[in-house]
Amino acid sequence: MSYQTLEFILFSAIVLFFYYILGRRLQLVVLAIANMVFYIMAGPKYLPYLLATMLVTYLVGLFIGMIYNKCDKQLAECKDNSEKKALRAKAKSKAKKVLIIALLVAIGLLAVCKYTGFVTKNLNLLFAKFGIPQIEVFKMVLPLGISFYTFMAVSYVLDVYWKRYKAEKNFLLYAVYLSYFPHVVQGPIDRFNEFKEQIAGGVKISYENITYGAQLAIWGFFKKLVIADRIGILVSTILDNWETYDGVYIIVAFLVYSIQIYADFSGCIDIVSGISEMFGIKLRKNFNHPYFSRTMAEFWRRWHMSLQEWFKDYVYYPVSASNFTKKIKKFFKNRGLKRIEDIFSSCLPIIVVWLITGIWHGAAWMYVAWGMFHASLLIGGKLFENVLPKVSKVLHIDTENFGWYFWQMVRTYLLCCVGRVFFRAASLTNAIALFKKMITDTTFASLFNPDMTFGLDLKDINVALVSVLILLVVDILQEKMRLRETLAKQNLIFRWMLIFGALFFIIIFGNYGPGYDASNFIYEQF
Amino acid sequence: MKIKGYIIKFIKIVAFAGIFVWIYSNVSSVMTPFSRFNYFLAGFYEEEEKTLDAVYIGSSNCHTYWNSLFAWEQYGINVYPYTANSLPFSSAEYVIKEVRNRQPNAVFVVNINTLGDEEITMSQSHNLLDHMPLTFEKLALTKFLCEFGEYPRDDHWEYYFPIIQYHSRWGDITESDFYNVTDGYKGACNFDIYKKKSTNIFNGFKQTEEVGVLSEKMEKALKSLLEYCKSEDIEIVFVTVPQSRPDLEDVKKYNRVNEMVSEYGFRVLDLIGNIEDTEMDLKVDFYNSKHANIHGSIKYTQFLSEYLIENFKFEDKRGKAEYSDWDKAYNEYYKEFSPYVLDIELDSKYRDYSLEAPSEKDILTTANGTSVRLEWKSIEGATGYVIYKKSGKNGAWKKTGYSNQLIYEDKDVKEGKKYTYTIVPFYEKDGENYYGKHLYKGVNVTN
Repeated sequence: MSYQTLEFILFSAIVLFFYYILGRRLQLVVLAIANMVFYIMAGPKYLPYLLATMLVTYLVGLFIGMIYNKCDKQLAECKDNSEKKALRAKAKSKAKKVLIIALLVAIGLLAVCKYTGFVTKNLNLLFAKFGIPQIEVFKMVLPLGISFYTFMAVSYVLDVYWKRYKAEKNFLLYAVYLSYFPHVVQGPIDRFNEFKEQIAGGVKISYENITYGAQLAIWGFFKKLVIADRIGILVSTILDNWETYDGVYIIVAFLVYSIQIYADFSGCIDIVSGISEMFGIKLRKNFNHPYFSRTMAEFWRRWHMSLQEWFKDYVYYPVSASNFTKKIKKFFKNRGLKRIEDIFSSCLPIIVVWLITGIWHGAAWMYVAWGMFHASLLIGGKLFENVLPKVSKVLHIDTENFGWYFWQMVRTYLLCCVGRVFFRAASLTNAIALFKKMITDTTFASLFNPDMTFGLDLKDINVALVSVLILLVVDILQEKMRLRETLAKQNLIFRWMLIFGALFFIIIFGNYGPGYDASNFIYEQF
Repeated sequence: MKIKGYIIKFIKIVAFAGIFVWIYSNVSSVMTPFSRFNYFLAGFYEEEEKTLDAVYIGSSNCHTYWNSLFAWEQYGINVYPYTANSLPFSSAEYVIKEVRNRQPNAVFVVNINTLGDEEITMSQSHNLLDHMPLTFEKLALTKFLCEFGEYPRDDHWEYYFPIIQYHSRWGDITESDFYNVTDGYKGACNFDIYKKKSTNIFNGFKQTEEVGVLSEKMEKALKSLLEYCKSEDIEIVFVTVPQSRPDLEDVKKYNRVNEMVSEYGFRVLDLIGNIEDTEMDLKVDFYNSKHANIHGSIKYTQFLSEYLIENFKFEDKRGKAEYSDWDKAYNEYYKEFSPYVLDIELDSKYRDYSLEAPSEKDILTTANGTSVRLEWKSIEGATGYVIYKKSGKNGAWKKTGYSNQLIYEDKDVKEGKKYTYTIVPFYEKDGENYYGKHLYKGVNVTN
């Protein structure tokens, strides 16, 4: 059941009805049943993987909690500081061992399901060079949302281990968090404590939650059905037959693809966040108008935020603070290499994070290349952080005006588009071929060929242009104000006209139904 | 204060839902294509409730055979064709239930030619459902079609909400899509091909008494229909109309249907096995292998009307003020078909189709600028001949004279003008003239 379908809307409506009608005490039960139904409808074969991660991380969390509780009791009775320290170290070490079990199971399942094929394929390539017999390539099932729920489970056990909050005793609550149907397929990657805060005591029905949630979901449907799936036709038409097109069209395809993927992914997140808001649960913010970013670093603080924040909290900081990093830094410091120490401390976590980010998106070298491309941009940004303002000063460039901001936004957008060549290509070789074609076989005059509409007719192109303009205007307004709250203060007739207008714009111009090839969300595959 | 707030919110929700449904139904109606093929079903809903004598259910081989306005004009009965292209017979039970919502006392005539016993295609379902108003019976019918047709679960939605299927037409919407109006002809066919074309289907027409095997689900659907008709005491006739077909498999299946229907004691009109009862001519009364033309439909309508009047208590409603719209519709429709039909074709009382028409090669025409002369070979049994003439592209046939010899001279002609003539043989018996066949397309003469 994909999020953009009528089936999903009806499913959500039914769950919502029972969620509020059966009262606060049964809300968790209603959600647990709904989550299971939703997940089983996607394929019962995926369920054991989810349940395994769920059970192991829950039990490990519980166990770590018990270790800490026992340690706390012992500490209360103990007066000697060195003994206290030893007790803490002992508990920590014990907890660490259990934690490793949870991480091995959760990440192990993700790794086995997602990367077995990739690893065996590459090993075979290596073996072939040395004449070693080939091993069979296993085709594993990829459980729905495994990349997302695994990260949520990992964040939970790590937070418990780091004592950010206490282990959860209520299995139902933890199960609902991990399998919550609005975020299980494509995120956002939520945190247990934030989730729990909102639902643990039950949720009271609120007119505001319902209406605000519905508005957000409508906006998400608009982005997905009207924009993403429409311009996606153009992108696929060109990139699926890229050899036959002039390089300039491939450039156009990637410029459009960046809009498509934004409308697609943020559209999905708005749909699920809107639906979730109706249940009184606000999901983590995943997008903050990323294309208004002036630097790549800012872009990654605004794009797929829940993933970036996860990496920051569970990879970047731990790597920065790890003993290994400390030792290396000390090594450079002792030799008076302060600059190298700085560069090293900035670069290592970035490289690690982006290597994992790349691999997280998919088991293919192109994703690794994509990750490294962004790592190099971020490292470049860090290294020239202090140099660029000086250059601007020397060249008398006024960096405090709209023109400069605008240029920075365009530059960031274009760099994103370059990265997306790796992201969208069928393979790393294909990405390189695409770059080659764009550089060596581009005739800008081809842009003026009126016959090139790439699977869209003129009317479709007009709808796409108008819709993208609406997206831009709304994004600008959202930057300046809390749009839904501002709307809520407007006259009822105006508000309803706007909502009905949006609804029927989607119903009429949305790409859904048998007249169109329905396309899944891009991030569903991750 | 709290209660007041709840009431206001409740009113808002109801108003919002109401406005949504209203806009949705209008948008959906504009988006759903509406063509002449939809007139038959959509027109049924323009009829006053509880006013029809009978409802004729079937596919296109129903509205091209049964002409409701001819039946009205000649017999004063109003039998409406509730038809859609390829309407599957297997869905008849649900269609009857839907029709009975508005016409609970009507007699039913059900055509079985489009069986739909193995499958019901998605377009068949759309033809039937798209312009049917929303009722519980429609929902039941939709469910039946989706299940019988074994459509993928995701595809079911488009039958409940046609906009899912048709919203992609937004780029092709024209002003006419905003006015889904029928031609007002009460289901009488007005296709050009129906009026103008004649095809010989003699070689493709096949008969057999063998009984075939229906699919399991068709047997089940038919049994359910018959049980329903029995329990509701519905007056119903099952009809098989003559058609051309590549083999006998369908005919054998019709025989199986007829067998089951007869077992339940309902009326069967097997007009494949008894085509002679209709007096339809396989050589000229059809416009293609599966459909009768206007001439065939006149004969068929006359035959079926007399059958219905004989078997059911139908009252002649002509002249009644509350049915004046049928008269109006006929008068309008007359302008459409009259160029193609002779007035004596509509005379059901005294016809004898055993009297052949003079063939084209047997009619000799000569013109000298002031008159047109027709000569023809004698027709066995004829004692006289009526001569009809028409001119111009859509000129109507007009009786121009008669002759008890084998020659006729028409002096009412203009030089250089093109005329078309046809000759109808007749004989006299008990003081009445009995008219035979004629050449539909006539013979052309330029004076």
